[in-house]
Amino acid sequence: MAFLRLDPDGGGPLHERIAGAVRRAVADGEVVAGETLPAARDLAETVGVNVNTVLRAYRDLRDEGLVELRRGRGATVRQVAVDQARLRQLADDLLAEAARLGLSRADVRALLEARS
Amino acid sequence: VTRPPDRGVDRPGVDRPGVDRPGVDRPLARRLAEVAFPVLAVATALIAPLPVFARLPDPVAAHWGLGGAPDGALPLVVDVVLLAVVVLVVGAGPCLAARGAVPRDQARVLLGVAGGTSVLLAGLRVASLQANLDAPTWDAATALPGSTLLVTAGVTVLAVLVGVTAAGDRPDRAPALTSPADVGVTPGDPVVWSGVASSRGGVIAAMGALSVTALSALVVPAEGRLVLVVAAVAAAAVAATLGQVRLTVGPAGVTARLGWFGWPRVHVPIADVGEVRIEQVVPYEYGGWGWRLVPGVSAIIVRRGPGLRIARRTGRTLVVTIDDAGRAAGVLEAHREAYRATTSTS
Repeated sequence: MAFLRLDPDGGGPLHERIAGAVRRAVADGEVVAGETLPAARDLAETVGVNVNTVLRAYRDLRDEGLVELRRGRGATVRQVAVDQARLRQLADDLLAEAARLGLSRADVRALLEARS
Repeated sequence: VTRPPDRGVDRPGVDRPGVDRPGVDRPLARRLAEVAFPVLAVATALIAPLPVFARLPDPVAAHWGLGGAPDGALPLVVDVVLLAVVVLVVGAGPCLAARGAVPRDQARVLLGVAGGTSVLLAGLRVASLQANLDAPTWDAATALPGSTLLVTAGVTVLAVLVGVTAAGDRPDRAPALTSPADVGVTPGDPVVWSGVASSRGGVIAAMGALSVTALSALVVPAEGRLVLVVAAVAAAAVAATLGQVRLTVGPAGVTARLGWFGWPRVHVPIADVGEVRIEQVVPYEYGGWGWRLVPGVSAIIVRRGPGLRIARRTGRTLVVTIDDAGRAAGVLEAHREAYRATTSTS
């Protein structure tokens, strides 16, 4: 199951809004690794855009390594993308917690260095 | 004190290690193990007749009685091409289907059948070549060599086990249950929901038909063989269509596509969407599985259980079986309300 939230402000080109919605869904854990995104034609039809707009968004995502594109199989979300999103989330949490405790970036760096 | 970086700006996908390693999602060894036996079997069945083609009688012995003596023949070219095509269909067909996002248990069935049937056929192909080798006419062919049959039986079991085991590291799909009120989408949110419903019965029926194809290619006496092979392949294709339905719901409407081939498909524009409800679908109420047309209702049914019921403004109703129908209904209802609001104010 995939749940995509398009940027409601309508800012930026359409294909960028669609790609952004997929990136956000991965970062928020809304889609899991191996998940198949809607077929380009279905997504185009249900969002009300041209199919080439969706295909362009999917190609951009493939070039970033977020999804795999295979003929007859559609776009599947890659495990590495999900892992990276989770790692980024953990890093954000670490920095937020450090900020809450009044630690500087140098302190966090020292903390990480001490255990490598 | 520094502010944590804005995650909206920090796009995942840039400067990430691992991007240049294709196939890291599932280990390459597992991917290869899945298809190794079908690939070897298809290659064997295609290549094995070539070097010995001139040493085979024409017509060639193609069916053996229980006593071991040949009792049926086919023109040499027909025999070679028929077996090659059947091995290709039973070996490659399920492997291609398993590349899609099928649940784990279905992938196990697909790859187990692909390995077992293709290896069995390839082994029998080799055995029948051995029996026909250097025979002046087809009725002078020897019995199928027992050693080859024994090896074939062993490798067939191995191929089934490897296929079933190697498919086990796929992500599995657990159907979620949400009520339309819990979706958390307000009318006007440009959200897209996409989900599936899949049927174990459709997969098993398709693989059953393929197994019939494989067996009838060798067991059925010569004349009925072509007819049965064609009929069983057609039955497998039809059953495969009933294996899965995928539904996409967005601001502009809803689209459903049936099967692994993505056809047939149906689209309902948002302007055409009336009342949206969820229901527990019971297949026999619609006359069975697949694309059902009953008075007033079109239904896409791959299993019993949760489904979406959309009353169309044209007067017809569309019913689609779908996992987490509640979420699908909630999203569609939000889009419908937003559409009604814009059309009533303008």
